[in-house]
Amino acid sequence: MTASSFKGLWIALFFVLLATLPLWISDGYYVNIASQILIWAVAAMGLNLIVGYAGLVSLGHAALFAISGYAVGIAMSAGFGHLAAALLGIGISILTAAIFGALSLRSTGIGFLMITLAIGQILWGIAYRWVSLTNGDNGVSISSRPAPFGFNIEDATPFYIFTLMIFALALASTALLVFSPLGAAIRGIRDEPRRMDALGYNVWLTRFSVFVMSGFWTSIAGLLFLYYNGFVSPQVLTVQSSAEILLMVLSGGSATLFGPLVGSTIIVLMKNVASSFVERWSLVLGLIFVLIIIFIPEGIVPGLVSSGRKAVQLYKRRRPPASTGADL
Amino acid sequence: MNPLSVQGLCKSFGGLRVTSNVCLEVAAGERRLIIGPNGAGKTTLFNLIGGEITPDSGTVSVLGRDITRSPSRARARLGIARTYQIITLFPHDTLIRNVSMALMGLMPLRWNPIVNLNKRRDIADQAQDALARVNLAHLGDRKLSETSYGERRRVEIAMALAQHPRVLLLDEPLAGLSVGERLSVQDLLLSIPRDVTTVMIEHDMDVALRFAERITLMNFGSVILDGTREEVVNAPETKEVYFAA
Repeated sequence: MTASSFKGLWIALFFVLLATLPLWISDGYYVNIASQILIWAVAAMGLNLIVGYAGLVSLGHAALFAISGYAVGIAMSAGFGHLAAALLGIGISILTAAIFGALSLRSTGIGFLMITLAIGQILWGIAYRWVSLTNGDNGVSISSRPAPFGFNIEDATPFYIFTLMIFALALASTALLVFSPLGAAIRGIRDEPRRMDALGYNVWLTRFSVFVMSGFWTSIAGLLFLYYNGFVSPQVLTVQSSAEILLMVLSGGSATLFGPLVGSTIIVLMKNVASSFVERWSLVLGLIFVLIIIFIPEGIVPGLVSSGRKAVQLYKRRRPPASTGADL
Repeated sequence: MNPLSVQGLCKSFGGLRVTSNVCLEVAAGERRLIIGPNGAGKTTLFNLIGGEITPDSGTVSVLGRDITRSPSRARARLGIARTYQIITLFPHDTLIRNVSMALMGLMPLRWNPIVNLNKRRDIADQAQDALARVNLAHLGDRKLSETSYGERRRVEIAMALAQHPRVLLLDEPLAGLSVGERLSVQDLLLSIPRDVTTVMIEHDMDVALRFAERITLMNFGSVILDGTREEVVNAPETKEVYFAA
């Protein structure tokens, strides 16, 4: 069995495990937690495109996450159906991501981070203060979840399966991008923008295209969030939300396919499960991040992979060489 | 119409004038050497020709086309390729992938977000051919970080040649190499076909003089002397400005 088919088998098994999760945890509460993990994992995967693969740290992605929810909620209040509202919401999100990217990609590094933070804050201000459009602090709500292809996803398990399908799509599209020529160009521009420019690559446009892709998946996650909660409020657009998505990427491992899922699992579990046992759960969460930064600064997934490789090498070194039979 | 023409190029960084009215005409197939002491403005001149910095005044033309305001990527498409004094490659990728990046830079394929690059045998084969030109075909699947400094220098040259340039700018291609590696890279430089017009900055005069037919001497951002190998080497200005330094 080749290394790639072995990896493929593990991923297939992993998805079988995820798909059968509701059979193992029959409690709807935990199935909903699993849905939340997947929703935030999609958002973190979107952010990972720009942070991990393009090397641009954004602190404004919560705005892109929320804008699709707001757009769909407002469109449905105006009488649009689910499908039309969703398409409109995604369209508005892509347009917003394009404007967001065009403005913020005037700079890189700290400058980029500060511009994304500022734009995120502006959008938060609009969501909070433009009460006639956004309903202010109360946010916008929808009365029901959609029924994609006629399937009812009102209950926890069907919604989880629907979210898992979107997650799988996001993962597949990210994998496709990562192994593609454009993915190689994105990483090349992250590492050596000057060299890539001299080789004929359009550095700005490549960064812009990955920013829009990042915004697309982040807004898809925002749409799922609206369907999950039934409402979206300015709380979702805060800097804290942006920082949480960023921490999901960094703790799981940036520029990895499964890092965002690991990061979202940690944060969602801490927020929803640990908080019912520990009052100051954010303190514990902070401690976890400090430990990750100290011991596995590259993130959990790359850390585990490198530890696994070291263990295999150690095992191979310690294992006595196989007898050839010559001394018998 | 010369492949490379530089006219009255000036560049200042704040109050510091780094390039002052530089003129350079490089004929087709010529091998030009640019020499000068440290800080003479040689690499700045390359950066101005390559488009990494824009001049305050003057023009840069390739095959009669004014590219003074064109970005680096457009210049690459017009046939300018370069290597860097400080190696700027992709250490975590294989040699084949490094050269593939150069190949794709001039192809529409670089925008493709769907096709699996690992399955594009045509790109890998072209990269392998480019590596064979610099005698690195046997290391194609090795990560760049696992190669020697001399091999990385050769990868840089392979990347530049893979783009089939009309004008090749080599910025100190022998810097940091051992004696053995120098000889190997020197042979490689001499094997660059004549349809590639080559401009090289180099301090190793033994190698450089074997390579170049014409030499341009720079000092304090200006061209002091421009002539044949013999003219420049024997000129008193060269002894005063360069060899004395």
